[in-house]
Amino acid sequence: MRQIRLGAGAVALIALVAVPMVTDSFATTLVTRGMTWGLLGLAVWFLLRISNLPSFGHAAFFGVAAYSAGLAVTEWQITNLFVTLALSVLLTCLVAVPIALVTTRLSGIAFLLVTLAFAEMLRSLALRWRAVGGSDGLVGVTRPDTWPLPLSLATPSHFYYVVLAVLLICAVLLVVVIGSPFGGVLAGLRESEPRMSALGYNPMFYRVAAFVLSAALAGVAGVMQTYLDRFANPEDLGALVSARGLLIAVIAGASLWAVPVTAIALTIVEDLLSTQTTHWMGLIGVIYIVVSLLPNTSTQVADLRRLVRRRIARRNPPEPRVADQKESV
Amino acid sequence: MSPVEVMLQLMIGLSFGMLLFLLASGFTLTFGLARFVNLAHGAVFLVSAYVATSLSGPGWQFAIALLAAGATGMGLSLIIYAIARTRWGKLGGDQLAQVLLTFGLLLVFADIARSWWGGVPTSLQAPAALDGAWAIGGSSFPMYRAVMAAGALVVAVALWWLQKRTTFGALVRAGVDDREMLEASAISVKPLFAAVFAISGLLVGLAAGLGAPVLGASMGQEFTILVLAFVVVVLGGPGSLMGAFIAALAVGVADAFGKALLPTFAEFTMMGLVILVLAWRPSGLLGRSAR
Amino acid sequence: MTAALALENISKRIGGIHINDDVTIRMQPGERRALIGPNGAGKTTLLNMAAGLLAPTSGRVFMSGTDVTRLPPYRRARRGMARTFQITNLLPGLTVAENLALSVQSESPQRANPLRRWGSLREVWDRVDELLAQAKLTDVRDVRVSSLPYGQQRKLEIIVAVARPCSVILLDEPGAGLSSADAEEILTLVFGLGPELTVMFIDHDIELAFRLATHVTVLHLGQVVADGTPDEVRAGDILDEIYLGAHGA
Repeated sequence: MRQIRLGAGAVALIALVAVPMVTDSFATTLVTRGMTWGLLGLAVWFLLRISNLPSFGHAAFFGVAAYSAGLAVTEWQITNLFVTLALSVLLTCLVAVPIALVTTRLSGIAFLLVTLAFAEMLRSLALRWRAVGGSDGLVGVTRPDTWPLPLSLATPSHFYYVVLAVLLICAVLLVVVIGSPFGGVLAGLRESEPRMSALGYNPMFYRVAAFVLSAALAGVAGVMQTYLDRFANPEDLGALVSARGLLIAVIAGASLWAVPVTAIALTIVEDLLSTQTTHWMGLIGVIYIVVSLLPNTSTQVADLRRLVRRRIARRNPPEPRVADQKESV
Repeated sequence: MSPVEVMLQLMIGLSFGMLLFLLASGFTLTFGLARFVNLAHGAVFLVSAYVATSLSGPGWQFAIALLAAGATGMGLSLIIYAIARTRWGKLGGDQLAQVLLTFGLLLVFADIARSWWGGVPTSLQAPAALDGAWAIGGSSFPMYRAVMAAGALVVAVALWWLQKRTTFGALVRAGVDDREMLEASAISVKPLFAAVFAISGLLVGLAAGLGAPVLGASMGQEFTILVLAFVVVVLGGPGSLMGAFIAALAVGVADAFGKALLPTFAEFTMMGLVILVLAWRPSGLLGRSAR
Repeated sequence: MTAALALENISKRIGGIHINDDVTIRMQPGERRALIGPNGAGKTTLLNMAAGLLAPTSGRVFMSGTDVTRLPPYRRARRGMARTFQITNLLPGLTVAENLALSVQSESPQRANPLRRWGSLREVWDRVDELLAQAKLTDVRDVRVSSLPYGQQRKLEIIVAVARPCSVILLDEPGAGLSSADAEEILTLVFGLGPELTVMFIDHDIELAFRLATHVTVLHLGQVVADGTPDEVRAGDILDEIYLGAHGA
């Protein structure tokens, strides 16, 4: 089973690396977009599968970072990708902390509704705030330089590889975090808060930390999106963005690596729909409906043992695993 | 702000709050009884508002528009229930799936509304007799807003009566308190759920019709209205009608003052309200424990 | 001598009903106190107030002389309070070893390091294996708790609670659903942890409670009706009165 997974991963990675070489710049850009959605999907996936918090408001962080990445170039005269990225993610975290403090006190559905409400309020704000372009959005954004890397983001393939690298780094970071003592604490909190509290863990602190980490990832996605489109607009803060993140996380199920794959596939499908018909919005709605009606898509939690236990267990000689036969995910 | 302006904004806020209560009560009913999260609520409002405005006409044709909006809301809500019923075994206990389903339906309904009515904002003519304005100090208060608030109040009282004074209401209350008990008893929940969905849709439709002379119908409402309804539901405590009533008035007033005092940053008053209330009571004003 | 755990004039009212009324219990270090009384006497509520899960309507809670009334459960845990729950409260989706590790590592500076491999906290996992061996649970080390037999879950619940440094432990019916012999094994296991450990436990098995406890507090309708050594409490006829309903009108 492990070999199959590794093999599939290797094939997927080779395919991703090959995309700019074997396709035109249009397809390259499309897959780039898919990977930015993959970043957003990872953010939502992490919160959903590890902390059991279904966010319908990650557009808030996606959008805040999208705007700050744009403003960094147009207003603040910052020309380096890594500086704008760091700055935007920092700003995103600043916005995320108060929202996290309020929303992480809520359970499942109340959490979902309030995160959505916060994102929509920020969208209305962006719509009316002339200083950031109001309903016209933020125009005139140019792609920054990548010093010290000798790349030019104006070239679609260069931009593509930068996004791919960012995606991989973020995914690996999540794997590390999930497999760390911190990841264990988060999984414990998901299972029983009173128990973790009785063991001396502050539930609020860990949930807020998980939330802010997730928001930061969504911020990375927002930055990439702005430079991809050279444009940020109030719809970056809209419910469609949040919903897409959630949809990707739901389709991907319990597997982290399925997230970027799902995101790219979904992006391609959406592109096909939007070129075929003016009713693409309704057809996207149909995708949501179909996914929701499929059996067993939305309630699984990520099994951190798949990521960690192998290493923990290897220290002891293998023992009969009574419970595990039927649930190799 | 002069006392008169404060008074004026207060009245505007309260009248809008009454409308929000109708919306939020529809949401809170299906959530409280059937544990069903209906994001399509916003689109039901949108379509009902378009139906109402498309029937705009002189005089008392307004009444027809209002009834048509209510009927539209009820019909759409029953369609949502019928679709959910096809997979209730899964959807009944999986709120994330409900969210995806109803968000998908929201997009579909909104897309249908867009192609049917061309995506342009429309409005509904209030009957001339109700369309005046009262002079208050140096400002004027549109008479129709008072009518809207009164209409919403009538519906709210009817809803209260239904809940507290009828067998149906007793069943609903029992179901909200202890759904397992209700399902285990001999009462068949399907017609009960269907009735609650119908009432929920009716409330949204009536809210759209009553609000149409003030708010009109326009694309994007499916989200803006929806979010206000959520804020009301969460602040009031999901499942609590009384909580929704108090929260709706508070949100209406906060919205009015926010827009009057800080036109660009009006949302901050709303966000502030949400943060304050939830920091104080995570389960909402009248909600049971959130976890 | 400062009490290890003191509940001072604790009252709890919920909707006009007195769950607990002016309860005072002071426990010296090393004391093993059984909290007994019929159903509805307010035992679990009292325990939850001691642990910080519920706030008392009035009264105060002290740990070694420090007022902890307003501290949340996790802050009390860090001061050395451990507890078990009446209904087994473990982390069902995690394995036996992981449940234990989260307790063992809870005072370690590495407890929430986000960048280190969990499996690399050698001292934690060594301690986990040691505890599992002591409790004869090594066989089920990597079994998900949700598929563990009930008796082993009860046992694990206790071990998880005491696997971290603690001076006061609150046990809510540790023997619930177990045979008398198994219940005794669990209590003996806790009492064997050290002479300084202060234990408060709720138990429905009166005989067992009297045999193993150094002190007994009898609660009835939310109030303390008897308090003392097992012999002192047994000498009064309060038990017959409340359990056999003999104290008439």
